Amino acid sequence: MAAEVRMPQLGESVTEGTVVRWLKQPGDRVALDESLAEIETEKVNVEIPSPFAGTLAQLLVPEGETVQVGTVLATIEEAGAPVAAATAPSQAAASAPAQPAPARAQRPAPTSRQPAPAFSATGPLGPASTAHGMFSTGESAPPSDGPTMARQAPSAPSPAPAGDRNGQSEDQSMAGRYSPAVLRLAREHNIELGRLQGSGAGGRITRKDVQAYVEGMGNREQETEAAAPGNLGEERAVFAPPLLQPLEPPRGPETQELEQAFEQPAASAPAPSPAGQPALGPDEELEPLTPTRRAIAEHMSRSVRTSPHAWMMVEVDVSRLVAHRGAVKAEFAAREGVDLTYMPFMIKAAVTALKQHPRLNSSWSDAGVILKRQINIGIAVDTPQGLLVPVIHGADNYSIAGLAKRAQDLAARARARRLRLEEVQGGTFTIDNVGPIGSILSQPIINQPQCAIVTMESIVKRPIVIDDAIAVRSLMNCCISFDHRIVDGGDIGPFMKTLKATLEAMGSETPLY
Amino acid sequence: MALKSNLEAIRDTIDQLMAEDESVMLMGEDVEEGGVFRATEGLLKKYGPQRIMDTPLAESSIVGVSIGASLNGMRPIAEIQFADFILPAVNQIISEAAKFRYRSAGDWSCPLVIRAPYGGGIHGGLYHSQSLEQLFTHQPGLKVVAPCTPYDMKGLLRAAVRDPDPVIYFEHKRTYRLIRGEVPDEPYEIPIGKAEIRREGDDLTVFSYGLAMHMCLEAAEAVANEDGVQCAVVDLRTLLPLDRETILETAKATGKVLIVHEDNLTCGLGGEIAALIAEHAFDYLDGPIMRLGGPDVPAVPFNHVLEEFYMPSPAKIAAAIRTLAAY
Repeated sequence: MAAEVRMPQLGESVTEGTVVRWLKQPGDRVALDESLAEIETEKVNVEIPSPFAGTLAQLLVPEGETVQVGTVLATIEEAGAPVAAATAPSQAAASAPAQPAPARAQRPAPTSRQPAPAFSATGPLGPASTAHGMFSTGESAPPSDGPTMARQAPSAPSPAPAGDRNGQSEDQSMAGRYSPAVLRLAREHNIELGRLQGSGAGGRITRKDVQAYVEGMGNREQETEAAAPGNLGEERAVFAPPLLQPLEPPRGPETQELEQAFEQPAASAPAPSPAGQPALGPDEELEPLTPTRRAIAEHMSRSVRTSPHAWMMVEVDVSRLVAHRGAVKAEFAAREGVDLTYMPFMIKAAVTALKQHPRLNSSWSDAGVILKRQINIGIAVDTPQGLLVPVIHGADNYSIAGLAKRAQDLAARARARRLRLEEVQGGTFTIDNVGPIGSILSQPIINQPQCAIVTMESIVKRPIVIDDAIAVRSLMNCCISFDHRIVDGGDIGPFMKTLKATLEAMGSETPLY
Repeated sequence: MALKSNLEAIRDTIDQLMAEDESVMLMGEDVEEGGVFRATEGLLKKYGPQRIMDTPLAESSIVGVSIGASLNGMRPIAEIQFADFILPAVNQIISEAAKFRYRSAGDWSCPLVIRAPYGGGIHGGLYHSQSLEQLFTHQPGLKVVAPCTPYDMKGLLRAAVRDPDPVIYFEHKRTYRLIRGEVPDEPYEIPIGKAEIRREGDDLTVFSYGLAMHMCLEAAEAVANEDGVQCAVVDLRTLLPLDRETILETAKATGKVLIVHEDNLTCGLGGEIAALIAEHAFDYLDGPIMRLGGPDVPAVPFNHVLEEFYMPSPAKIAAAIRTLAAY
């Protein structure tokens, strides 16, 4: 019996993938987890492991073809027992939607949702329960009332089960359906509806949801402005890492509008037309969005909306580190085959500071702050397609040399789009090296859902006062943006102090191994 | 100020109008004896057979004679014993009364009131239970009112009698003795064409009239207590012309609309209100406009169980409110 191999879901925002190369051909024997094919997505390139041991029977998607997540790529004749997993005919499976909607399927039939119990003989409208109760007294609603209701109001939506009204419903089938009232309010208040959680039937966003959101928006805006002063637009767009955590799929015009708003200073931004096609002047042209650009835009906007960003900067005297690196880098490169940059020292310092201030190695949730035991450092890498943030997992287990090799390897493969999925996931803290582009001060955007992101600015020689004498020293600014929901300045100050002290203590005695 | 039933309010208002204006007269079946609902009891003795006139069982002539009287300076109040019996008079109402001002280019008009006890819930069977308001709300030239509280009974009856054109005054017979309220002794009018917001609420808006309006209020209290859902309840009071301003304002305020009437659903007033809102308040809608009306059966049945099946009830209305609130 043939088992099916499907296009895997490589990150929540990824809806399709391209088969770059088949590594096995029909008739080949494959072992469990043996690589079957190379898959390319907008985010990462992966090799998909075989979920079964057996003989490759059929290749259903030719090389170079892009297919939806869930599409059957190949079938494998299993070795040994028949497979129970193989189910739907491959034809149907091949055209299956990328994001199946189990919620829709789970929705009970309308008849089962009639609120029949409400019409029990005494009912909820007994004399005691109402002010005047004149119609209930002595009357009993016949059991046929339930069906009557259905017949009388055939256009009515199915009544939701009681649970729906109070809390989150699992049924999200109406989440993307917006009423005229909701759209009007969203337009008036410039709200992107994807940010709201609907309280209506099937997860629908109701007029009152939007109104409640608008009421809360004033506070949030003030907080964000207070925490992140200054001119942000351009710098943020360039420096901050893109999302490599779960994000929602692009939503077409809305996202596009958002991105436009994000890229242009608010004052001069032309009002985009409702249809998502901006009106172009004679001296303007429209550059279509790449999936990566769209994902970055979505993540940046969402991050700024999600976390109240607060910011601080410390000035670090790295003169000793500069001298040390200068002394050993040639030998290091000759011996290890990789350049010794400042990045591994910075990672080491960040790890040290995170160990002393573990509260920054965390994520926000409404239920509480999620503290992460493992320190996984994301490093922002500029690639031709846009920013990527590969992650060094368990960064505290590496020496300086180990970090150097790991960072270099990840950066090289990010540029080549050869990262594996797990290498862009699970980051708990991000370092953004903006020094090479000449920056001495920047304001990064948090890589959601992390707590903070810190930059390494350009190292510059400057005269400073030490013990009432003027000295020329190598100075580097480190800027941190942090989620003010999780930590306060009182937490960040000590963290940055540790970071600064660790970097300033690095010198000739700092072990590379 | 006195506590009165709907019926008492009607009787006292007729009495008051006749006392102050000799042109007001009353005709109908058994009105001399006080009528089957006792709405004209005692009036014969006070005003005599010239102004309180029994008629044959011929509704066409009740209305036709009233039209003639109205054209000759009288202000007749024609009583149709049960609204179900109004059908023989429809030709007089629609072909004559409704058109008189129009076809005489405003020279003539029929200051005429037709009182018609309507509605079910009294075990009256097929010929004593119907809601026929929608036959007349489609007819320009008429005014149609359906008050449901003693205060409104008085104010709208006075406005109807004082109106220079024909007004059909529907009285829900189940509310005659069921609904009581304070009624001022002094004369007052409630303008025709003005709805009344009976209850404030910001979750959804319920429109109704007649007996069902009281059920809506009861249902609104129940869902407020049990579900925390707050309904605005609007009593239309006048069915033609509709108070568009209040309807649109209150619909826009909540974006969710339920229309409840005892009259059967198809082509009932709910359809007209739904269309008005869909046309003029579309951008404010936050859910489907819902209607709760009687089932489309030829008449209100006599059998108790079947009559309850037909009639609106607080429980049915509350269920519809919950459905819409959860949307």
